[in-house]
Amino acid sequence: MSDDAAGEDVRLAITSHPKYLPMVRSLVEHGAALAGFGEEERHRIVLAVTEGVTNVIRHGYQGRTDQRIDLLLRSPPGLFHLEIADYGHYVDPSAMRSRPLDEIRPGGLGVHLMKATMDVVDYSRNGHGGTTLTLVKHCLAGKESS
Amino acid sequence: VQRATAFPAGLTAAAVALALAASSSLAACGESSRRALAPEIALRHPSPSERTQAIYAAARRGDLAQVPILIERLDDDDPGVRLAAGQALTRLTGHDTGYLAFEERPERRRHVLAWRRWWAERNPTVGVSPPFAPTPPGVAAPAPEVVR
Repeated sequence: MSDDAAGEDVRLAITSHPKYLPMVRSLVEHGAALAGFGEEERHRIVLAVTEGVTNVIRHGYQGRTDQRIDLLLRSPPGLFHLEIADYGHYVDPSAMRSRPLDEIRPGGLGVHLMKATMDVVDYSRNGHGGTTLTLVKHCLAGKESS
Repeated sequence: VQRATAFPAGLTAAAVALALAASSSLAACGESSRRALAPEIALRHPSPSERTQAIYAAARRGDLAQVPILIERLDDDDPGVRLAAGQALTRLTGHDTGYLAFEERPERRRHVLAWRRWWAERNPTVGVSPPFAPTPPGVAAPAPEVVR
């Protein structure tokens, strides 16, 4: 492994129940810290990932709470890379388009939030017939301090 | 399916610098630089974040013309770019050499060569690019190394 290869895979498999969201948030918080993000950025990343997982439950599994979600985290210094895979069906990202920002009501801003926070928000079909959401963010400060 | 093209030999360092300067002035006006950049430029952008975004965008477009540049990015200095390039290549072509973004450079370069050969076999007009072409401006150059 090379110097930047503290990028070992960290995997978490949960069922699609909101009660597991705190575990996801904890994983993401620690991963973002390993990558070198400051507290404010970590908070934003946690919010973005929470929105991503919530979208999986809502759109990938239509609210079912007993389905599998796999998370794969790689966070060497300077990089936060998380893949969220479901086993449902491929969800067209346009079906998850957020409501307009000027509509003042809670919820429905997940895609806006993810895109505003992360470098990459990418939806692709995965080998299980479902969707993989990839969220990537670089942290120059984290790389320089490593 | 888009026709694959060779690694754009005409893309000189000066052209890259000009395009990046143009994108910077657009960004200063509030315009997104990634919309202003051609894929060939964005994939060589000095910022790893921009390179990563360009790689995912190419995969989403099904842009097979960028495969030769994506292959070069397998040996990028940034692990996030390498990770994205490996995933994008498999997504675009269905081919997988078992590349791991966090391997040591000699191992990564073996995969670069394997990918080049595989791609050249399927695109005879492309040819195999010379081993490890000059790194684009702003991207740290890899250390010279012989790969057997």
